[in-house]
Amino acid sequence: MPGKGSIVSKLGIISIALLLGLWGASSFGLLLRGIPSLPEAIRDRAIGRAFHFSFLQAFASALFSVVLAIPMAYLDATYDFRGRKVLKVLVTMPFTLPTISVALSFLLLSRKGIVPSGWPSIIAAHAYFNFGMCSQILSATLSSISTDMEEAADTLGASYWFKLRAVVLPLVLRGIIYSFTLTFVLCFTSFAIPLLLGGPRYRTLEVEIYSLYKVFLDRGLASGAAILQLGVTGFISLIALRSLPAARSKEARLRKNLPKDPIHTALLVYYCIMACLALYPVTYLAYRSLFNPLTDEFSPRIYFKVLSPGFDPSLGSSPLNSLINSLFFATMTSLITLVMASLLISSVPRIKNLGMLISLLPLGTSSISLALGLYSIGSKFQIPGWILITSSHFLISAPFTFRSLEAGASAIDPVFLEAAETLGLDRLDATFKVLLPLILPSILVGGFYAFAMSISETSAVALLSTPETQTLTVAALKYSGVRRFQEATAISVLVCLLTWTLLGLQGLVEKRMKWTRR
Amino acid sequence: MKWSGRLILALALVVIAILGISYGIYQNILKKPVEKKVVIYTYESLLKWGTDPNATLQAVYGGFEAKYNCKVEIREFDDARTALLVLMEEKDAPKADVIIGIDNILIHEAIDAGILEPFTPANIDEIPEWLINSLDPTHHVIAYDYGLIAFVYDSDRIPPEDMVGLTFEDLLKPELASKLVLEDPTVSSTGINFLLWQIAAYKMQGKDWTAWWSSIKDHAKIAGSWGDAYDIFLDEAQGRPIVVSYGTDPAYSYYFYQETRYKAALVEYGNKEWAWLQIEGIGLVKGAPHEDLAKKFIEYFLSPEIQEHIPLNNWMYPANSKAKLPEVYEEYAIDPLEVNLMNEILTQQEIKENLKSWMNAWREVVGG
Repeated sequence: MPGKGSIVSKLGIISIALLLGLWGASSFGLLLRGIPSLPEAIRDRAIGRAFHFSFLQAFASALFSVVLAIPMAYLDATYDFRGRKVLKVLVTMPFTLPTISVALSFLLLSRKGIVPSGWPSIIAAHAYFNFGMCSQILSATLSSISTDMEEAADTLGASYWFKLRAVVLPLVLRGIIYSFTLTFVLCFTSFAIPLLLGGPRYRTLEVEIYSLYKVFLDRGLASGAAILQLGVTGFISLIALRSLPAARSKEARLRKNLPKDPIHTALLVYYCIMACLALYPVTYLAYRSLFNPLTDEFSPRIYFKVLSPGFDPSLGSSPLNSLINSLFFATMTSLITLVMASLLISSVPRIKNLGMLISLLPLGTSSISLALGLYSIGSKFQIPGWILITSSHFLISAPFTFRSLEAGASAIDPVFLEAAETLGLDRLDATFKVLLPLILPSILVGGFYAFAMSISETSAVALLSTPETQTLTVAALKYSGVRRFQEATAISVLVCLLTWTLLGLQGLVEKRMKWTRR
Repeated sequence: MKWSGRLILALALVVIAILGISYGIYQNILKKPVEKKVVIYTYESLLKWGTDPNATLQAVYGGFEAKYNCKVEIREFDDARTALLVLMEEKDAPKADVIIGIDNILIHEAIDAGILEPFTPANIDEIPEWLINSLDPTHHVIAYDYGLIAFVYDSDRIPPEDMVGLTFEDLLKPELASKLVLEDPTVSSTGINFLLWQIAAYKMQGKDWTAWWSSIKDHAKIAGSWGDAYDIFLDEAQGRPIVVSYGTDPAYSYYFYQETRYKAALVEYGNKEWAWLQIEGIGLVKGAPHEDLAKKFIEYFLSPEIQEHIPLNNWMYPANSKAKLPEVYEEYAIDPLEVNLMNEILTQQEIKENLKSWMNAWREVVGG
């Protein structure tokens, strides 16, 4: 009988090899150029300042995101109430938006004086961008912990707050630390938001790297700074992930009815407010897209224009073609990432944990150097642009999709798998026939993340695409480059609508899958 | 049928492969192989500022395709710097034939990077010699347009008297500084041009240019790009009616909106108006795969018929002296030939040697 030591329990190595291979190939130049320049980068005062600011704001942003997310995740994982799914969907919206849309909406808010400009607006925008993602991760972790211990605490007469602090929090610590780390890494390497909101005084390391590459054309120093960034994010991810055992319980968490006391009502009201806030940028973009500032006209005609199959020389191809491309890249990214995630969770814990850690590497790598690295490999080996784009999207979505599947899998009692193996299934069969069907909601969430991240990704695809392969976000970028904001916003709304459609489909599928745990 | 784990996995891989292959075929259909083509790298807003950008691009690129029975492939990057960065990455196996948009600042880095091949087009006589020499006497790139950096202001919100006889020192007064939007030179091309204008003005007076920045940084708004700066300028709630932009802006506003409230101002020293000139050039890529067509394209791009598209679509002055200027330019744009150029104060050699240290100093003063 194929046991735990057999090759099929180590297929996660394929996922790791793909991740490492793609990342390594694209970062080879970075390492080669960057390591000799590292001492100079460390001494550079501007880089030092950017490093300092990156660290502080990333810490604050991650803290805010997680704190904002905890009450929502708790409600979502513990109670059942009307509209729970809708709320859950709404709060994840900001994370699936192109960061530039979030940055623009906060620029508007800070210009109106609603959010103070400078660093507070950067932290606010980061927290806003990430809290939904944190809530998803926390809720998934919490869902994997049964209510037994909380009930025991209740029996022993513990107060509500004591129970939360002494029982629930320690159990979800892994989720908290994971979402904190992920948000920290994302904010540490953030680009569009600080570039737009921070000005020359509040710059992240990524903005500095961009400036060194593009304006100073100093690839050595830029690579040195990028390695510094990678070092910090890598170190933090490593510490965070290694120090934490997975929380596990034998039973599933069963959702109870929401009690009608003031605390829970307040929590629910808070949840609803956050969901409404999450809708704001999309609403704003939709309004902007329908309104023509030149003619003061309100009309949906722009949408026919941005979906037209006719050649648009401004884009170098047809607008419809960019929709097809976006859908292709998103679908392809979701499929590949899901297959790789499945292989990873079918593997022994050691490989699984290594894979999770390695999937964070591309996130900590400066996106401009990653894109340039992929570009240079592409031109050296004549690789078609669309393969490079799919690769870059796989790299950026892997940590989120992997995490979703892993969270789902860790909620399943290993006894199921062991039983399946005792019955003669090998590890791969057990994973695909027993584990994956059980965690279908997690697979849908993971697939959704990959799809949404691919469809909203801008910086890599802007460099790697030709007119034939450009996506919706690149088309939006090109339109806003010549100040055709109506077209640009209409495309951004379209990107949101596609993401929403997928969320809707996800809900429909989940409804039909009665056997899975929700 | 027995659905083993292997079968499901294989099926998933087959689906991925089929998707990939069909997309590859779709891409091949889109990108029909052509025998004759020329590949051009440029910035994404080139020639897109007119009333009908599609018609302009069709006339310019389509015109060349019809004339030489070939295909023009355009790769647009967010700015000319990114295009240059990509050319540097592709240096060993160039894919591009022509680069459009290397200006009188980027030229040094472009030549140093060794990605350009000097080429003297047959119609070079039609481009004024001073313009050629101000950009690149070695002909790695040839000027195709030029224009001035200027302070553009909204005369409804700031009286034109306040902007007459303006000096950089005047702008330091809090009442003017608080109305100003600038671009960050370490992330924006417009910002670099402005920085050089200001450095030249201070050099002319023998003063330390960094003093200006340390004084203005707390009052003026410094935006990350020309677009952001312009948004702040237009948004009246921001109360910033002066922006660093281009000398043709008033002509643009008049041409599109018959609006005369937006005006442009330069600086004045010793009763003379001083400005900074930006010159943009087109060049042949070293090792260009389609060199012959590339050379023809450069000559075509510099010809009067194409150059006449420049003023109303790129809002710069055409380099070719035979190209006619539209009326709106005579009336509303600042003609670079009628002012003194600070570019003469700051030589190309000085820029080449000092640009990085100036920008580093700027980072220290403003970012610190």
